[in-house]
Amino acid sequence: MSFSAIFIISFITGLTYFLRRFMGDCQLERPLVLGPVVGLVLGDFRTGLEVGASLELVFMGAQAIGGSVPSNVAIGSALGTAIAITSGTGLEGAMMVAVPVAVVASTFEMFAKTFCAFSVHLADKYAEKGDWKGISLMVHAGNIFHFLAYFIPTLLALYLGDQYVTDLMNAVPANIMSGIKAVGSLLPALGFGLLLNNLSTREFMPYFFIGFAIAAYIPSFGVMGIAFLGIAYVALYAFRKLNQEEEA
Amino acid sequence: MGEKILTKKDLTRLFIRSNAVQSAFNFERQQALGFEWGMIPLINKLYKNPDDRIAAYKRHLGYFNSHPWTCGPIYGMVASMEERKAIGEDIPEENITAVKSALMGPLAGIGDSLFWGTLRPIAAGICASLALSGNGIAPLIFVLFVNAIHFGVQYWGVMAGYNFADQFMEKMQSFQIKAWMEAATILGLIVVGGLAATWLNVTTPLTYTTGEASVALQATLDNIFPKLLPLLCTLGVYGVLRKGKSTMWAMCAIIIIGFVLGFIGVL
Repeated sequence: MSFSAIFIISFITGLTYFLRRFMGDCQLERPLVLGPVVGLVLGDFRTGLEVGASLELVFMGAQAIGGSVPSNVAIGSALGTAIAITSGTGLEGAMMVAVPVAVVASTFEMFAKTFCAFSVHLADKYAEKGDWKGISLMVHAGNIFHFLAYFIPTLLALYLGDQYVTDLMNAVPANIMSGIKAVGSLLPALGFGLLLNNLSTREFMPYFFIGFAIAAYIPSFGVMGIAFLGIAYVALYAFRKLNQEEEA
Repeated sequence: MGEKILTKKDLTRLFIRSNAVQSAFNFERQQALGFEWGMIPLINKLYKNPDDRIAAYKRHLGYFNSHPWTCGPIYGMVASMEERKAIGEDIPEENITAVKSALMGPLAGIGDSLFWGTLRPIAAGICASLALSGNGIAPLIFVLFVNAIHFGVQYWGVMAGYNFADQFMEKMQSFQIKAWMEAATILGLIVVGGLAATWLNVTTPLTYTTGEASVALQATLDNIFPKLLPLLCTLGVYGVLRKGKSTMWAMCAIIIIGFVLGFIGVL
């Protein structure tokens, strides 16, 4: 692969992720789309199409739900397709690369999502000053960081070999990885804490515990079930309140 | 009632910007920056007084996480509430936050199951088999088809949300709006409680031994009070913020504590 082809493939991979952030999840990072595009860049559209479509069926269920980080389909399929075409190993070669790489590469997305907490805090500072341009800057900076989180690993993996990237990730001590993972799992508590702080007057606080307990003890109930119950309850609440007001 | 400020053009612009809801996605406040970015032109148009503007910027930097294809109604309703607030109606900012909080979870649930769980796999599955049988434009069909639905749903959502909230507040008297807003706050808290228990995943790998057997602490916790750790974390942060610590302070504390606990294998 020439360096320009490597660069273009990495750039496109980053771009599809950037557009997922900035244009509302257009599904461009799916293997079905990325495969043939990578094929076009490398001059073998047919193989790209075939590999992309096969990987699409493999990765059918992978999707971020509620801020989780599933295996990284985009990097996996871009790399898998590129290596399948250049090494001539076809679909088997693509699978061998795409699936493990997708798992390793999800770490980079996690880095980006952890790091972007800083851009929110900087945006807080700009908001305090009424500087909307500063806030916008943080939005774009965050998106560019997300772009790099896909662009750089793809570039490195294509340039140095995917084994190199896997080795690199494995070289990070397990302690440090679990430290970073713990930070990632704790940070949403800050978001929820802030939200509670904005929402609650002390008298309403027990309602938070009601929602929490239902979801914690009956996971299958789900957010939709809780919303269903909640709507029924608050409708009762509001109608009763309105009746009292009318009588008074 | 004062003159309406927002035009169709403003709402169209809101729809276009609402697609960036996932921008600068981060674990702390998820789609907060994306939501904020969508609201900026609207805030700038509605509020001329610097203090009101700053309050509005800060208001929409709060935690937000919904679905990029189904969050439109939230944008529309919030736009209508902000418009009325700017005209001078009595709409406390807690109410705006409450509406966002009450709707983001359920709409995300609808989007996840309807689009990620159903439409996307079906469309991708059909187009992938077309592609495997040699059809070169199958990927293009996939992209055009899902995005026609994507942008259509989002556009309709923004407009419908605005019209709904607008008519609701037009018809209701102020004491009725107050009762319904209180209901929205309660619903918001219930749903946020459910979201915190669903989306927050703090677990411990620690084990302890009773007699011969080694028992996972997490399994014991799950038997007594599942999701106890996420609850403690959320309440801890909430308590610290109530005491007046800055969010920056809280974030640094979380990063340090989280890293150390993860490093030594407690989390």
